[in-house]
Amino acid sequence: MNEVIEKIIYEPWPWWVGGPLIGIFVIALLLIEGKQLGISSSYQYVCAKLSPIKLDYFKNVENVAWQFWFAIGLVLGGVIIYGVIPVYQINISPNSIQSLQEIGISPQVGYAPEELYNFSLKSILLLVLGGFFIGFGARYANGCTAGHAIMGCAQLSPASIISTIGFFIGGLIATHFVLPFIF
Amino acid sequence: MKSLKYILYGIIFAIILIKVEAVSWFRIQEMFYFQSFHMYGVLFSGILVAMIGVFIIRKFSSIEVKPKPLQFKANTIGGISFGIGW
Repeated sequence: MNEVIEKIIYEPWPWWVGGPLIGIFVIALLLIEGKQLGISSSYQYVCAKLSPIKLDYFKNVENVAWQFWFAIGLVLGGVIIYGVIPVYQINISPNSIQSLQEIGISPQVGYAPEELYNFSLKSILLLVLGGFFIGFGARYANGCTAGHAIMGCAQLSPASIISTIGFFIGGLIATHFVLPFIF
Repeated sequence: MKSLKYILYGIIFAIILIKVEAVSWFRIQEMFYFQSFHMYGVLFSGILVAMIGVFIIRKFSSIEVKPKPLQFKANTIGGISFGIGW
């Protein structure tokens, strides 16, 4: 029994455990709280609270206030995991390790490569620029991977399917045409 | 108290996303190289389970599940922008 619990805590979960759990989480959030999963509306909430300019877009943000607290919980969850589980090397496919080496990213422990988080001017600029694309895109498309790709696609909503296709086109562009020229 | 509740939801969701490695930059790159089924498995099984749940909730309860409004241009441009950052 203890071994099972240890395995659950310390070893990564296969997709067929984590994926369905995400689905169950979505259903629980709907059933218990009546909320549709979403994260990036928390940007709207924070901007509305901090902005000195009053825009129409910033009205009625109280119904997305929960997402602000939800996002704080997401960060705390990360901190907890970081405190409990030692960092390990993500077991990606050998082909991907090779593809990444070809663009200058070495195999290493952790969830993201050091080349991206070494606090050099280049990495800071990259992260800020990436953040700009994410922030602008999530709000302009009216949702992110949580709200559109999971919650929206689960409803087969046209807006969400188009947005999710957009996420993939953008990701493919960045992976194949931008990243190779950066590192 | 309400805020505390949603912080707790956030912690739970974060643990799921981290344990299944969906937060990993390496996993996301692997997905965009089409070199592993892992992330596709996470996304498709998550969506499938949620879809069944939404279907049942719509049928048997009064809880509203509203799709987001279609804004073709914004969804496309915003989507691609988000993807580049992703």
